[in-house]
Amino acid sequence: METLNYKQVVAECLAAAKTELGRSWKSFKPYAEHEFRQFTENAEFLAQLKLAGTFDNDELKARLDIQRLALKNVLLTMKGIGLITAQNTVNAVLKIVGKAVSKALGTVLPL
Amino acid sequence: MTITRITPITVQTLLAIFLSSCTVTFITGYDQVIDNTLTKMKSDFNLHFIKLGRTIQDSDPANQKFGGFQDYYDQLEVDLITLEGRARNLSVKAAIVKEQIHNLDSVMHVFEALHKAGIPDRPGDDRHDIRNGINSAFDAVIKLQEELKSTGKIKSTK
Repeated sequence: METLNYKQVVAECLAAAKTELGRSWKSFKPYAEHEFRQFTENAEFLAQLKLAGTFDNDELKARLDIQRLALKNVLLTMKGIGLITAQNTVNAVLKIVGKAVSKALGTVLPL
Repeated sequence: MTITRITPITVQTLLAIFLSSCTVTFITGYDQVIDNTLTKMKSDFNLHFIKLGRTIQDSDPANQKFGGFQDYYDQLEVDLITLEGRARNLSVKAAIVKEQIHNLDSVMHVFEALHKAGIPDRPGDDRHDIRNGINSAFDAVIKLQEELKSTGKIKSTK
């Protein structure tokens, strides 16, 4: 039976995690930046109209509700992407460790 | 009495078998019907908003009345029912997608109520905050669906 090369396994696991997190961040960053900038601009636009007396409180509330619910969806997407990243990272690490253990045992397992 | 000795090799074998069969699932929720319906709804909304936007930028105070756009809202209701129905059948690990669909339903009903209350002609207020907000609400669900479809694809959905 071969001995497990712990150093190599840990290095492979770290590389897999880095790849997953990097991929996720690459997709996440421009999306988050765009959405946060847009919500800020929308809030500023509504504040200006309200200060100018353009509409009443009911309309302001409804239009802010749209922003609030939309922002909630954006934040849920970010949370979801975080979970997908964690899921993919854990599965990649499990696969690497499983392969390393199988190799050490000299058995071929259905990985 | 028989005593089974647990050797390090036994432990490693069991560990290897365990690890080889183990994948974790934190989130699910990709559904092709939801994905397609959302894309269609976003397109329908933008077409509707372009038409509505034209009526609030002219000098006719009556052409933006809710009744003139009833067909759009009827179709919207049908699409929201489709989304809610599909979301209901997703697994418990799709809680985020379910919440997003629920929020989207609320956003569209707030918008409908705003239109019902009247969207008067108003210089300097093209309501782009409404268009942007609703597009963001759609894009968020579509983006998560895309992520679940590509990187989060897993074999088991339950």
